[in-house]
Amino acid sequence: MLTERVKKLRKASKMAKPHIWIERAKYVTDVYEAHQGKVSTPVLRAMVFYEILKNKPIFIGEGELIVGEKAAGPGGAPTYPELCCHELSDFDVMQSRKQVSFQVDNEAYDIQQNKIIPYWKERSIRHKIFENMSKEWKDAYQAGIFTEFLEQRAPGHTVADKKIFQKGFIDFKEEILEKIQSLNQINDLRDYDKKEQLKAMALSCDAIMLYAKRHSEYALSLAKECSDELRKKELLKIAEVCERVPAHAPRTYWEALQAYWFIHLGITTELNTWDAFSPGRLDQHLLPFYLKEKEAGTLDKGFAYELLNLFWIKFNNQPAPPKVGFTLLESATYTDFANIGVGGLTVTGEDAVNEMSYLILDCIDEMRLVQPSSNVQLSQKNPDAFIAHALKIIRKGAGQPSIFNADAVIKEMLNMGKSLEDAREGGCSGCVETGAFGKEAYILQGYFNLTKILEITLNNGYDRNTDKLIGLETGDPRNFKNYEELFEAYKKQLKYFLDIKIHGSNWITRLYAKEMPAPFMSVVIDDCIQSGKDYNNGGARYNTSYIQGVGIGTITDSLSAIKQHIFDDQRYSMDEMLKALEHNFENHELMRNVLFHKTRKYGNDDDYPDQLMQEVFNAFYENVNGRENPNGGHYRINMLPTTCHVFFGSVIGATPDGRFKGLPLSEGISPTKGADKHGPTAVIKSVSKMDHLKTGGTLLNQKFTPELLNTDNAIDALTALIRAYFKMNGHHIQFNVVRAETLKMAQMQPEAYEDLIVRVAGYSDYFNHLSPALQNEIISRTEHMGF
Amino acid sequence: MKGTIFNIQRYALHDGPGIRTTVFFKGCPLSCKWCHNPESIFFDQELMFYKEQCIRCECCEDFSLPDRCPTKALVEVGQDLTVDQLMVEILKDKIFYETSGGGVTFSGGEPLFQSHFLLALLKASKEAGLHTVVDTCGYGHIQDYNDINAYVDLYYFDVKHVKEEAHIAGTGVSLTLIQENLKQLSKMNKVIIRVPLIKEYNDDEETLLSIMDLAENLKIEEIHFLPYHDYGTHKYERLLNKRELHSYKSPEQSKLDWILEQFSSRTITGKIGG
Repeated sequence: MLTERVKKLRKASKMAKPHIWIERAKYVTDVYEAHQGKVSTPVLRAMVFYEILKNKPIFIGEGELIVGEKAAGPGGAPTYPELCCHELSDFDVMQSRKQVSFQVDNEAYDIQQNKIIPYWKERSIRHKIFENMSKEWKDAYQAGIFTEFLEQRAPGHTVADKKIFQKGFIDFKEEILEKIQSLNQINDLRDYDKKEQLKAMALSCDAIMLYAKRHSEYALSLAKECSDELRKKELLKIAEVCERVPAHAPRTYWEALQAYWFIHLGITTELNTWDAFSPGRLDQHLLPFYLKEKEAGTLDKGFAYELLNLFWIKFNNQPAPPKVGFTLLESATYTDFANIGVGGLTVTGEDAVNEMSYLILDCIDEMRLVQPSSNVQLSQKNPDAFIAHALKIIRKGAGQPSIFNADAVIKEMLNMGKSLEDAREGGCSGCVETGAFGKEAYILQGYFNLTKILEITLNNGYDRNTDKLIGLETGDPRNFKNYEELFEAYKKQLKYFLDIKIHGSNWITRLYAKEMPAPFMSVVIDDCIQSGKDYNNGGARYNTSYIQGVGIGTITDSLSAIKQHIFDDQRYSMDEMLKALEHNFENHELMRNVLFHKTRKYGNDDDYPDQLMQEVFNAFYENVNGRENPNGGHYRINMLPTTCHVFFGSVIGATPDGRFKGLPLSEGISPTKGADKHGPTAVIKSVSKMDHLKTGGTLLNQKFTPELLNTDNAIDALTALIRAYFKMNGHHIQFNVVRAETLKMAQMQPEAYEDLIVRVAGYSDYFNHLSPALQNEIISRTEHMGF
Repeated sequence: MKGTIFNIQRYALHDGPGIRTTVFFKGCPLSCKWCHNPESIFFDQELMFYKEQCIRCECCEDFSLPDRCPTKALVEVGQDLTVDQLMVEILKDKIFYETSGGGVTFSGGEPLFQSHFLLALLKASKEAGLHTVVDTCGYGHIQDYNDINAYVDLYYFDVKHVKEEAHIAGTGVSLTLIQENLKQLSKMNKVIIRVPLIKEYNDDEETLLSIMDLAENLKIEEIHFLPYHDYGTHKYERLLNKRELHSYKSPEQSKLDWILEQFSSRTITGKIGG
């Protein structure tokens, strides 16, 4: 049951209008103007961090118990001109666009025009990236072959482990100072770099402690003026908590939540780390505090639950910083991708489901907010009752939590060379990405358009959309004698574009290492202190670069159509098909119908197309996996789209599977919408033919009608379905439990469905916040019904 | 040896325990007026036409070449398949049977109507270690039941009515053989009675109580009442072999509640739905 306090704050959070908070940009620019070139870059970054936290307004909302906002209040979004310096026209667009809009006040325009743009226009990371990328890179980027995550968002995407619940920043700072003392001044050739980095880390510890202390002082001053005795007591307690954490290790459940929240704000203030920051295995982190206090009688379950609710609201108050250009298209959402997991295994390999796991599930259920995202880590060691509990929440239709295969996730990490203990403490964040929590920089480098590569191949290297020769000239497909020749050409183009992508990513990774260190985040990620290196410079224990393949369903069905109708059955010639594609099937209606309805498609447990899927997947894997990145780690793949399948579809003409020009591609590893005709078990069998253990995450969406989940029998069947998928090493599955008719109604009467939340990709969002193309895409995903 | 099959349904949740694959045999000795699978009745292949999907391309040359239809508006119902071919399909979901305690269900039509083929399939299923259900209308030779019995874990046995006249009127066949078979089968194996519940045909209290008594007398432990639905009516329009569509209604909710009440004082269990 939600308390009145929670209901009020939750409502306020949902009502908060996203707006630009320009002050951060001002503080950053002040520091750069005064100190750039006088101090080392890491120290300069720490000075920026200190300046912001020393000066930004402190907000404590009426009734709040967990405190702190990234901006001046709920709904505020800072900008990061050092990464992306917005033009005034960008502000115009942000205000006027229908989806993911932000209010921008006159003062922000003023500051942007007179202070920010003059300084950052040619100094921002984004500017430098576009100035320095090769012609080949730019052509491919413009054509929509791949996207670049880091062009306006910094690497981040990491998750806390238990140490931030066991140590305070006084402890961290002490470790840092000891490390500085121990530096070998003579023999360590990197001594200077390390010392500057460590100095910066120490300064950022001071900054976060100062920030918490300012909250403590402000709470005290509010308490003095407060006439309501009850609220006064609460404010005094807030002051006490903020005085204590995160300087010291938390002692209580409340302190643990508040300590995490300050660190979360610190990391997302320091830089715009896409995929925010997450507390990871929150049930395991909170349990010791909860049990200790419950036993001592200082905390009851009701209050523990209320604090958890208030913690949840804090995430929802922070819209993701504004995005522009292709980045907006690949990730069109306010969601900042914090993702909280429960269940799975303990670091010693035992069933980790505990009392807090269920409390958190209830919180997910009742809060029904789009942020934070939540997930269940399901190991074969976890009880069925746990997954059944989660499914009963999922069937209500808000798309949360999603379900991960804890055992497969661990295997994936072992496969990447991580220790068993680190793997068990890890999990998934963002949408579905695997990482060792508290010890890894696992960076998404960009989406990769697997279907577009086929279009380029079919046009002998030429891109019709941008009207340029951008690929290799692998030959006129009319001359290919068999399917194998076509696929060989596809593989050559694939390698060519992946080389371009990876070359660009290497350069950008070095740019961040040199110019955009993140000393604060580095404090909480092992082994940055010990190595004296920044998170953005290979300081973490593990450093992984992910490239995400998009459109596996569409590319598979397209290859299957070519193989089946041109080479095996010889129903059409290549020339006929290419002409039909060129004309978007105009006057080729019959052929389109044959291609669309009679192609053997992925998602039906049919080896004919499924084998083609494996070949594409393996070609992608082999060209990416194991290549070194500049931070001492390796490139890996995962298979997820966020909203990029819509963007990637918009740059591709008609495809051989009968898809019309411009329509979205298949999402995640799901079959093309409508292609799967044999129900959920066939889908799961097909997608399991992909070797998930070779990835760092895959995403499978399933849409069920509410009836299919409305009885205990149905829940049992779904549990068995998931268990079977996970036995076959499936990585992740998530459910949309809502009728297509409901969604269509919502499209017609948006104001009547303001609360409707749907699963998009690795996150949920308000249906009304989605673009019409994405809304249609979700409506037409195959709906499994009861039989 | 081949059997004629009109559908293979994976992730079937209402034809026995767990996740199942249900194989629908084509051809039925009964012709129940409310049948929601009218394409199951004839043994021979038939054509179904989904008018709204037709693009009038004339590829099928006036329905004579259904294979050529590009949009699957014209579909052949009924495929002749071997045991091996079917087992490949059935075994595709073995992993789901294992995690759910499910298996394979043979339904129809009437599976006993192709009894040799059914026996071969059941043997193959048992060799593969599967849990088997046979869903029968009860109108078969007792010898056939005797032959398959060792390979069947559970029978779903339809009871439509307990009065001869009404039975003939509704299904076209006599009740005698069916009742005798039910008696025999209930001694040989585990049986669950399934009753299609049709308003004003068999949903009067007297008939329903008789069915419950019948089950109790035969020591059958479970009855499933399946309320009539009209989801099948569109199929009558689509079948090119025209069958007369009779209009029936679903029973009232109050009747379903009444049924469930009866079981509170009985030793057997009853439920609504499969």
